[in-house]
Amino acid sequence: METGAIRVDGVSRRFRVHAREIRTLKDLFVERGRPQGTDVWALRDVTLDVEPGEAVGFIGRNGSGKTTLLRVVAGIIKPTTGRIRTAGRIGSLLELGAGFHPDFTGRENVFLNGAIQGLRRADIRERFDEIVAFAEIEHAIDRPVRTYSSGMTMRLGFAIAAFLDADILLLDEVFAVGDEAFQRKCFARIHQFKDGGGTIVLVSHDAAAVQRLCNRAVLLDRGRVTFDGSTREATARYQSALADEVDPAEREAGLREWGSREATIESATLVGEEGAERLQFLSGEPFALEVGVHVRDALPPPRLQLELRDDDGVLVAGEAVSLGELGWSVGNGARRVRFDVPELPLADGRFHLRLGLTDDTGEHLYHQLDDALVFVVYPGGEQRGVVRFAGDWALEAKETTP
Amino acid sequence: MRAVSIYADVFRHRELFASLFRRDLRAKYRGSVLGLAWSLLHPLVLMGVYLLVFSLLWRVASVGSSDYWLFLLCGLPAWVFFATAMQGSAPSLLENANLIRKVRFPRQLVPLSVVATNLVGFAVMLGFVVLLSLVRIPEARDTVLLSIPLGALFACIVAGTTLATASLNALYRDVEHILAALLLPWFFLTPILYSLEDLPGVDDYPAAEFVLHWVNFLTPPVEALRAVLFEGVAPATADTVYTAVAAVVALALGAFVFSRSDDRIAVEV
Repeated sequence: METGAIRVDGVSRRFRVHAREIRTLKDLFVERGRPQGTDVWALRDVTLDVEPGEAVGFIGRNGSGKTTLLRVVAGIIKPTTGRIRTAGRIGSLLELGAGFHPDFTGRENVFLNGAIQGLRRADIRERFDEIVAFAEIEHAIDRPVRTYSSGMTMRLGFAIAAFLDADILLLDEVFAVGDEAFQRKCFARIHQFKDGGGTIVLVSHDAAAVQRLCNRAVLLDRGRVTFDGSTREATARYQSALADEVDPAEREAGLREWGSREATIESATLVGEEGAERLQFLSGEPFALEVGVHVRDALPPPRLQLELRDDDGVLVAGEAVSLGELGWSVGNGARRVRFDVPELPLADGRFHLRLGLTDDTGEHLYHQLDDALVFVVYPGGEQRGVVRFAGDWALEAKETTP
Repeated sequence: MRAVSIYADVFRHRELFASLFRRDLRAKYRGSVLGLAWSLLHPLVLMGVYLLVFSLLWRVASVGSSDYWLFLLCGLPAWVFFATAMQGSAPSLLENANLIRKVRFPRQLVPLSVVATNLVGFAVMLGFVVLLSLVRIPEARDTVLLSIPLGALFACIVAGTTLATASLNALYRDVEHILAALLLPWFFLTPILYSLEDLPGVDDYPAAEFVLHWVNFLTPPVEALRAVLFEGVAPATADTVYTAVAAVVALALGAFVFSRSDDRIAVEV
């Protein structure tokens, strides 16, 4: 088998799901005799070959099995049936900064992380300066990682993986976060890796990220490969599959935008910490929504409503503001409204923002935009689910025995 | 042989093992004034406390020797090693969950590196006791060096049981709490503070003595170590054979439990 190749041969992976998770020995005894839990097949009979130098994207919705497939390829979990073979060193970037020890300095973490990824100490020493320079943290390399910002941690995590000299690079979509300039740098580095003949597997539920990098994409649905071919076609199929799941009433109406238009929403943008416009955010980072409102006639101050829904159409949050209370006076013209969120309370997933403009009573609709914005939030740490559950963990005193 | 390859990975991935070892050693004492010196001081301080309580304050005459303090010191290193290694490594796989879920590497290295850090303390304590015994017990001169192979066998027992416990704890979170509750009675059921022969009640309850000696797998190695360090005689054949067999069985058991749960660990931590 050629270096850089991946052979996935009839791979299935089963997870056993219990009604109540068995986490302790006590559960094991208590749950004895009850139904044995149900089997969930995260992957069913997946067969695909990746040739050296290919860049392949795995796309699919949450729960389609794409991340399980990546973890099987990485060798983190084993297939229940079937066989997986890879040739060459695998570099995995499933989570930036996974395994960083917060109390250790950046320097110590580079060596530790490199060793975990299978690199020899001498090799790491050789590349150390390059890694630090790429991550742009020369000034902080001897400070403990717990003092780093999330951006710095991610940059260092990416830099280590990027300079591993892997033959196969496994990427979770996480890498697409961070400020615009660093994202470009990451993509440049990944392209460089690709041009050097490296194999890339990228997992994403964001078709755009796959299109930027891959010429081949594999579409997964409920653990099965439903399409394997050009990225363009895979993306089209993926999007039409997503569209099929939109509320039928809305689809019949065919409307994404409506209203009487005396006042309109001219623009809507999301802005990150650094002030640049983006559609990808890290859970917990500062986040701002900017809406351009245009009033054509002399109207009393309108009311702006927003609704946030997840991919399944579940309402996550709703918010409304009377622009009069913000100091809008009667009259026409264009104004910008800004909504600042100091810590984004979302955890993981794709979100759809609906914006509406009504009169102050909320009864007369001037303008409504469904899907005014679609953005993605990545977990910065251990968060799962839709909402970021902010809080402080603490370790309580532990009993000791001799 | 899968069992062999589980331990052979320590050598195959020795650079990673060394990194984890350094991390565990330093993380333990990070931020303390004395830093690394603690890994040497901690076992000595612990021995000092046992010595103070059981030898000076609470005078025990059961050994019939004036050197009870040395008797105690000869049994303690093995216990302290076992207890600290078990407690330290039981939660280790969970503590490294973010690594285990995201990167492929030989996961058994995580608990084994904790054992290695505690092995350092064991070696320091044993070395200290060997010196004392050379000074105080002239007849031990010929036998103290036997404590090295015996200590190595004991380290295998600890490594195997620890690997099994850490794997189980990754799947069932109450294992470490059960362990914490077990360690104190276990300490008293192991002849550290007393000698099996000198226990007054032993003659009336031979079954109890059998359990203390042969069911508790810590007793034979402790007795063997004390024979060579304190009494200056060759260890009893039965204890030596038991210790050697226990070392192999423990390693095999650790490898078996780990390989049975390895895949589930990556899913469930």
